[in-house]
Amino acid sequence: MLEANSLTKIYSGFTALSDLSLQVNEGEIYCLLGANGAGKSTTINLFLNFIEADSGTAYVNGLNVSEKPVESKKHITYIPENLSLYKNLSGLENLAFFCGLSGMKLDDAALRETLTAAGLQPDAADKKAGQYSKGMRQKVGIALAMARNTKVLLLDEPTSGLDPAASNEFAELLRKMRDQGAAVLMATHDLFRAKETGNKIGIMSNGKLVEEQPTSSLTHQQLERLYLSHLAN
Amino acid sequence: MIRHILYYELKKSLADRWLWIVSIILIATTATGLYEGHRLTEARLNSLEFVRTQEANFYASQLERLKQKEAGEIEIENWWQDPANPLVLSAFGAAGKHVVIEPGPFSVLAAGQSDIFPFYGKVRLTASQPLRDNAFENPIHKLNGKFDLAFVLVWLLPLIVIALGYNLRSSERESGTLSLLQSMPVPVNTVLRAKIIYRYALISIITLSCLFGGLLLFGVPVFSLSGLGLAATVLLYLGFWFLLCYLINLTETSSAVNAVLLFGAWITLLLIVPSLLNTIANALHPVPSRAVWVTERRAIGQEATQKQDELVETYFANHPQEVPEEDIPDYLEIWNARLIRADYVRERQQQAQLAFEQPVQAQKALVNRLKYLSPPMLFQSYLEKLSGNNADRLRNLDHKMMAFQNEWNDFFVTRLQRLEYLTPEDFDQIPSP
Repeated sequence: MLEANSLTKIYSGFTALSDLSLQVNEGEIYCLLGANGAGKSTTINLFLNFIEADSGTAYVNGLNVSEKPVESKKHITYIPENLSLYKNLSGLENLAFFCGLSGMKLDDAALRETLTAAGLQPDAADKKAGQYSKGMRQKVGIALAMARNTKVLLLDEPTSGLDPAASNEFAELLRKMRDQGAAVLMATHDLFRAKETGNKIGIMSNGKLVEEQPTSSLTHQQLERLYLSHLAN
Repeated sequence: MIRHILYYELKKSLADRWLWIVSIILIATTATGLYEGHRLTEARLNSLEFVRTQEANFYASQLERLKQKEAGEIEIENWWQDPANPLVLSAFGAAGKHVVIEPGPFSVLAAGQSDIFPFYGKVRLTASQPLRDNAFENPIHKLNGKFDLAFVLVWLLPLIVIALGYNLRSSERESGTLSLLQSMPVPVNTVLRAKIIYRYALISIITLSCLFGGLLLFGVPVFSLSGLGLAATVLLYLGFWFLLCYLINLTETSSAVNAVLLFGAWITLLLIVPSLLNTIANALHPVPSRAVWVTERRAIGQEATQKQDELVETYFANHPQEVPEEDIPDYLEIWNARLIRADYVRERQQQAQLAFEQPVQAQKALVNRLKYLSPPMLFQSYLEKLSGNNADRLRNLDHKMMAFQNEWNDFFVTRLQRLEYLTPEDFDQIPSP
């Protein structure tokens, strides 16, 4: 579903990403771990074609993202660390707007149902998004993925700043999406959530993918030691 | 897709304050501009009505007196009081007729040059001159210009466009929605274009509604070709500024940089380019100072006075058929000399004026060619032309007065030379501009 082949990105002499290759399959949550500046967000930005790779290729559902940016984005829902919505529109209207940009026309009832399925309280749907907490906004992001029925989720530290309950709720939603066949690539600092939610973890350091393991083969302590050892290097 | 974005732009703007603020500003400034234009036009019309009433009253009273004289009801003791005397009807007191430049049907649109050039003048046998109502106005008012509709449309409207369009992309980035927008399967430029189209349509509707509603209220014939032209030009002008906003938004700079760039463009196109063009025009075609012109006019007058006898002698030598009879009254002899002098002065002054008018015309031609560098200049000159208060039309007063002066003199001078008194029937033949 998601595939990176030898991706390299250099910013004015600084190598942000070096020869990165990874693959995320359907029904899989791949957690990218690493310190700030390790290259996690750069990887996600390359899949979104926000930036151009200096070499290598990123594929989404078999589509080369730099050759077919619009086509490839039809398969992606992106949830940044701080998902922002239009403050003057309600959650429902925001969802309708972004669904419309994807060419999807859903009626109000279907949109409400999706928001509720994404965990938003039914009475919150009509409130202005300016009154939403971060957790509520992230749920609108998940609702967007559900409504658009995209098979790829790119998440850039989506639980950062969320309280444990909201973070847990968010992880539940991700698992639900995964079980429905979504391929999720999530950049995160949250080792615990990565172990609990992910199927696979990849540790990045200085723009390189230095470790890749299935989460089932590691305990929480082993993951932490592994992460810290790469951080020290 | 565009329709979808337009629909949500409308929803967003209805929930926001800016739509209401912009509407109030546009309505208030348009209303002020209309009021000012109407006030100036009314003042002109009142002036014209006043002088025409005076003129009509004068000739009506003279006709009445002439009829009374002929009926033997009154006796006229002095020649200068005789309503049949051509001099009394053409040169004395309130005699003379007014040549006017009427305000055009779209006059409320722009004060234009009407506060600088006179719009009526009185033609008499020897002393014709343009008259001005604005001679006593505080010059600071002229410096600041009028708050008319042209000012609102040419100067203020772009600021509103800039305020609405400077940060279409950067505000998305600064509020954090750009990344979500960029992740959608639609190019961000498509969203940007839709946002510009929405604002363009919205401002066009508000502006044209205020403008045409106001003009209709003041009885301006907006349902005409001129009205259609005005609407098209306003749309083009708005389109120019929105296009500029769109291009600046493509640069992906911050809101602050966009604002500075657009405001810079506003200053350049509205202030710097016109000033620069004036400087270039003045440098290439310098016009002698007004003091020189006034001095020259005086010199011509003094010269004519000094050699008046010589002028009269030469004139009658060249026009023997006009030599008056020996027994003509003294005043007629004096007036013959005055008329010959006035003809001489007029001819010499016209020649002298050419030396001043030529560089002015050359400047105008140059500015006319270069005004395409600045859409605001083009728009301003279009509005002034449509209002009928442009310099060309108002300057035409001089030519109209000169033409009527000839007609006036043709009618009266022959009668004067023959001392042919007017009858009540002749009053209908007195020329009018």
